[in-house]
Amino acid sequence: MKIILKNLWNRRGRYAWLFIELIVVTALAWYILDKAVVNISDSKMPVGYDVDRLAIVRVNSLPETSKKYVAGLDSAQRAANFETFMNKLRHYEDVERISPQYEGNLLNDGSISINKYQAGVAGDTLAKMQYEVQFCGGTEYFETYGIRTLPGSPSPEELSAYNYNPGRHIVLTEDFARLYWPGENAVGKSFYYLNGEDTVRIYVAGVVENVRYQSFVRTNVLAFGTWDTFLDKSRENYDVLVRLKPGIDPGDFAPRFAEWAAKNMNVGNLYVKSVTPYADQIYEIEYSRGIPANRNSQLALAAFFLINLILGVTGSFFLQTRRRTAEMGVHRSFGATRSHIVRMLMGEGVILATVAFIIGDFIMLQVLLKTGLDNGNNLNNMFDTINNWVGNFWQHFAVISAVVYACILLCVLIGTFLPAWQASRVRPVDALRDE
Amino acid sequence: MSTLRHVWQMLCQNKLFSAIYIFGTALALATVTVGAVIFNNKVAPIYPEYQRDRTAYISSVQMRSGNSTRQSQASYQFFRDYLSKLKNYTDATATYNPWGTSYAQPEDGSLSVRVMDKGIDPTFFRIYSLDFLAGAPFTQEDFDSGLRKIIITDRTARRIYGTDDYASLIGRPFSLQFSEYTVCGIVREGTPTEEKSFANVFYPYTTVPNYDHEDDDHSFNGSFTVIFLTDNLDALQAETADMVARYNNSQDEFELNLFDQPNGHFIVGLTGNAYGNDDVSEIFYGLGFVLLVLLLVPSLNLSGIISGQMEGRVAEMGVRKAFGAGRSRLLGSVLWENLVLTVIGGIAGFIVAYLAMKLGITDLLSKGDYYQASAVTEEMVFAPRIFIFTFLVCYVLNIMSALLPAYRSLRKPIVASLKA
Repeated sequence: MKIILKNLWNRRGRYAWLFIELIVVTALAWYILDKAVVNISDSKMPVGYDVDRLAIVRVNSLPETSKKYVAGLDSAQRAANFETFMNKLRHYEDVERISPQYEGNLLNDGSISINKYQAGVAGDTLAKMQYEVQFCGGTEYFETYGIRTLPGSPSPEELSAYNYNPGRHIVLTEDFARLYWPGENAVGKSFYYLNGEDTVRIYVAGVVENVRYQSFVRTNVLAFGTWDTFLDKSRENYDVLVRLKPGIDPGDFAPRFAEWAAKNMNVGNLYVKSVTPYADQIYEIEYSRGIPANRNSQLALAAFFLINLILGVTGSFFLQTRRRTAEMGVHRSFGATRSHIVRMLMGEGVILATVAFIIGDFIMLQVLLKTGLDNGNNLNNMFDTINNWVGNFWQHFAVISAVVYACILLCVLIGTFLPAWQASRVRPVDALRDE
Repeated sequence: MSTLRHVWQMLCQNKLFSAIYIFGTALALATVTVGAVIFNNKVAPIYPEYQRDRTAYISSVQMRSGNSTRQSQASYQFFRDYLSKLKNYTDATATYNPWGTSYAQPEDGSLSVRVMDKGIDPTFFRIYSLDFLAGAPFTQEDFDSGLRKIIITDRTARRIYGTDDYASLIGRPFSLQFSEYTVCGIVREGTPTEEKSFANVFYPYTTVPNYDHEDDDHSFNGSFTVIFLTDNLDALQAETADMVARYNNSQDEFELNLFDQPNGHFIVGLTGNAYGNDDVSEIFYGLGFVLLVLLLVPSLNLSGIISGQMEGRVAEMGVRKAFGAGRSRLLGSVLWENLVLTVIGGIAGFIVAYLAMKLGITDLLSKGDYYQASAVTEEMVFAPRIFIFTFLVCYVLNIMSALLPAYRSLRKPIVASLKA
């Protein structure tokens, strides 16, 4: 260690460029990897429902201009067609259960109807905005999604079959319930929906485990309200949530079912418009919002800086080892092994990287104490975010610092290995002859 | 010539450092070029949006009534009764962009094909220069009559009909959402990042049922984006703001808000934001910072390498000084030598960027429609401004990396140099 430090000090002028580059790359990599790591961490968080074996079947009605259009159907006939259609879907060999919903109301769907409203507990003057998603009663919604309920709450089946009074009964996620009744069972409790000057009292029908309404949003505070107590079966468009049987891959199911449905599922004016694995739907929404693009750009930039770092380290160390041939020869003649030479040179790189990292990290800390850390996607902090390491400043700082240090160290080790290995191959006789 | 010979000798003598130098430069140039092409595609004229400098949009309309707020695209009524009556524009068109996805049904009965569809009017063809490979656009008479004609792209034609004999497709039936149209034209497909003009199929929006009264409760909300061609955007914006104020003052039931639209393409394309009201100067500072950083880090690398190399050339510099070469001449010589290496790296980087873009790297780095493939064309990559920009970047990189190490090295006195 003493030799390493002495060597570094003696060559401080020659290593100056590399040292500055290490500090600059530490700061830049910190800034970029903060966003990328939070983005990746958020995407790995569970959405709260079971995406495996889940698919979406979108049902449409033929337009009046279609040659196959059946005219003159009244609402009773349309409802009967709906039942026939859904029974065919329900009894398809791969299907375990279905939950038809109105078009554009599934979780994570980009067109979902979200009702933001201010809710205040009686006697509490602090009102807050929360997300609300809507579903229809009597449609096996919770069990098809695989959303689980908390102890003390009705089961998913009971919640799906509950006799909802739309606008008066609501289901909350665990984090939502905890906001108003920490440590208590919220089932049966009531609070207020503030609608302009009106105050509407709402009752909690059940509490479910945390669910995120979109895969890239950092909040588990969500309410489930009902459009209708029962589904209107005379509409023209539906999105049907389909839970497949165990062992069925939604990616295989989708094209197979679409082909079968094109021939067998035209009932009245209803037809299957599309069949999509739920995971694909999630990714499609993320893609259209630029979530993967942002993440890829951040990772590409980080890779750019780190590759440059490897190049810089390799170049600098090759230069240095070329001039230190005699020194290597002396070390070898005194009994140093090849691995000793390699460790010594790589050790120089590690010390250099560590000191530069400490300086760069300190600089970033000063900047971040003013500007704050990346906090993921939460619509400018409008809603209560998930309580994890991202929201805790020091935990967040420590995690990203560790990631940055690991990346910097890896690059330096890669960059120094080849020059160090080459330097260790020097024959003492040749080296000393040159000297 | 002697510089080139000298550079070649240097390359051969120090193969490793030359490789690191050229690779480092190529990486920097490739990254900057990909970024430049993505930026260029957002704001510069590319097919079919060649009039982007004169184009402005209204794509978001908010109507508030009591506690109820509805925000969406514009309605046809709003376009017809208010926006088309503004004065400060040359052309105005409305495009119908239906919510949800659409599917086309191939003639052979195979699985429906997902397509992006757009309802347009004949003015669309004056604003966007679609390249017709066969057939012709539908006419004003076709539009007014609601004739079910459709224009499809070359890629859609190949997917639906399995042929690239486009002329033979004119007059063929085309089923969109089980509604039948007749193909009247085949056009070259644009790129999905051009949100305002891109679609796989175009039809007259007069064929859409209830297109002119989508939502009577909020008559200004609908599914249309309004696009203006104007030579005086400021005047158009002022006129629109005045129209909005007059409407709000004329009644108490609704409050209309257009968020300072119409906005020009440059701002909308740059911010990726319908309102285009982000701080543009902040975006430019951000881009400038990114560019500086993309050049700074490789410069530090290359400076280190050049610094090391200059140490080995101290004696050479000493001899040249002894023979009368001035410092500025020597400096210029070093900069020229490094510029040649930088240009070699730049060319390599440009080729790498082109190949990467052809392989779809822009899809990974841009948001868009998951089901649409973006086509990176030669027009996008080999645009003159991209070439000029890349060359300028090479030059700046050369100066940033070579100037200081060379200058420091040449400050040594002749005697000290010769002793070395």
